[in-house]
Amino acid sequence: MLILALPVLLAATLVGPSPGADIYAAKCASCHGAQASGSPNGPSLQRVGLADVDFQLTTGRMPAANPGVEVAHRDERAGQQLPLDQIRALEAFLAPVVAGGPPIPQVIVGPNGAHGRDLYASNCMACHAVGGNGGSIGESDWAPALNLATINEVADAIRAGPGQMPRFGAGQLSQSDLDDLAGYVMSLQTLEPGAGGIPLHSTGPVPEGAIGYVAIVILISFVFGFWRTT
Amino acid sequence: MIVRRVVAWADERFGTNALLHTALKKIYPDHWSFYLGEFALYFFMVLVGTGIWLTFAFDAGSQGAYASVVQLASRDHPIGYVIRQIHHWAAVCFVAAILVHMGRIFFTGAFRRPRELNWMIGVTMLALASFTGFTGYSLPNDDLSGTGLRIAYSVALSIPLIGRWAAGVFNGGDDFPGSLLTTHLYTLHVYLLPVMIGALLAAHLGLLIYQKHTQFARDERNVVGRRFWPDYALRTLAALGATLAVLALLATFFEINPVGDYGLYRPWLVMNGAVPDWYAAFLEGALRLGPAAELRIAGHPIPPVFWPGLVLPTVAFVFLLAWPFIEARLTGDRAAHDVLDRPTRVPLRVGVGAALIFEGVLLTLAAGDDQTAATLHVRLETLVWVYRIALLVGPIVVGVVAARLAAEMRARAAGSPAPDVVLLVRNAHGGYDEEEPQAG
Repeated sequence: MLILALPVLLAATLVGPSPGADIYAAKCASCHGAQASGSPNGPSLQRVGLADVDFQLTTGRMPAANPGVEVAHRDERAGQQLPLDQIRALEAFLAPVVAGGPPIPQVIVGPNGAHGRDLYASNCMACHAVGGNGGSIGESDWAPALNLATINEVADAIRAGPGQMPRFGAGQLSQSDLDDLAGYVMSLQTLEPGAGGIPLHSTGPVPEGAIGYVAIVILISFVFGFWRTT
Repeated sequence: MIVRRVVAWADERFGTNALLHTALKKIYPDHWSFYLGEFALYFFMVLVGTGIWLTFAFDAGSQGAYASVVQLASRDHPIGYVIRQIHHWAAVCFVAAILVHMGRIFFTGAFRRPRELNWMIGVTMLALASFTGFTGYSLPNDDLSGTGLRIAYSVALSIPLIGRWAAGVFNGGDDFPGSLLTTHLYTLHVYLLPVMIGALLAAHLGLLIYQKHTQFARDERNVVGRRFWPDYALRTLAALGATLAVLALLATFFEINPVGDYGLYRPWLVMNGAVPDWYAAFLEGALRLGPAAELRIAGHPIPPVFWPGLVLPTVAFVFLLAWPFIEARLTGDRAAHDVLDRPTRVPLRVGVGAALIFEGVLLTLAAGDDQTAATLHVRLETLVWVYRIALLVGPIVVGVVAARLAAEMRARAAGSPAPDVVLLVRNAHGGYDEEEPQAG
């Protein structure tokens, strides 16, 4: 009992009592440590930047579903989704701790979709694949599909570089680049049929080959049918 | 009336009546599985037709290739995207049809003496069709196919002694992509390969007509089946109609190879989940599963891609080519056959065929191992090892099990009584009783 109470007491001493402090103590401190300097179960949050915090919280990856247990797959939105006011409170609480890393970026849908696609091809496609379908990046890690992301989550991830993802700072992607790129990613989510029909999620030859064989099976059924009946 | 006059016109000048008479009353053995080769043929005809159309719209120089494909496949073009879709879907289906047809020939023993040469022609056409498809989808110079070309170039480079020369000839220079690469692909895809397929196809059908189609009917001396006119002609026309219908549906409703989404090929770009079209995927799978060990022969290093990328498909191809002779040697059956086997009659063949299919499917699946790992949420490296072990152990297990099953089925078919015969006897109450028929 006392052990459970200790983080609460220690967290309360960090900045003084606040809603964010309570939430942190209850949901975060067991892995990230009372001082947010990490523990065997979770990394330190010192100087990670609010962009990363905002990304983890708004996508629902954090707080982890089982506090006190190391998260196995940090790509999944498998944590507890906090309501927005609690997220804001947590961010306000953590702001001094995580300062030094990328702040939460501003982003709007950029005007230049073609430029956004070029940026995607150069920076994102190697992990997130064509169409934002995601994929394995070795070991047990994978770049997630982008179909569920909001534009703010996309911008957060770009600036923060959560997990294995690289961090794309202002020197690499300017604000207008960020707008165009985030806008392109959002455009991938609308299942507008391509010029050729049902997009097959742009996953390429794998479903195409399968459908080819389905076509052969259909043809075989046809000839088998009329061979049997005539 | 008009037909009669045309026939008379032709006969007077070319003497065609005799030929027509033979052709129209020729007997064709009838079985649903005999239409598989026809499907392949019809897909090929569609490919040639749509391909010729595409050559009018395609810019074969390396610079303009990608833009020309995007333009003809865009919504601005009245018909280009449909033609391109039909063409690419037909290619996907063409190789699938060849493979299924080849499977039918294999499992019914149609390749046996005297038809070994026709089998070899067919296997060669399978390889040529795959090459044609590969060169074809590499023509647009998009990022996905460019990645595949790079891999093929590297495999060519890995050939001992002549690798650099071979790769350079193909590429048109030492730097990849060479300036002549798209032009070379175009020459291969539009001229050389289709002509080779066409010539072999003519030989294939010619041999078929001369040696006569095999049949299931237990008659070594007489062809049993349907006359070409009107019976078989209408059936094969129906098969053509079905082929065209399926292609039209595919091309209309399913997007294929959206090169506009992939972007122009730039060698420093790569996309996650890049795989070749399905018929080349077994090579990709072999490359992914092959060990990264570099052998040295007489001090010269052999890049690891050489073995899975070149040696494996060559060995497989030669094995397939030689199969009629291998089977004749292993079964001791060197007699000529015009009657087809029920597949279970030769368990060895069933086992070998099952093992080959297993290997082919496994290697094809392995091409998408990263996508599989991501979908199933397993560690990629673990999956690779599972595939590797399955590759070595699987065909033996599958082959033995399949052969045993075939032997069982054969034994049961030989010893079973007449099936589904039941004697019904009216009893005194007005109902019916079943009685076993007298053994006879």
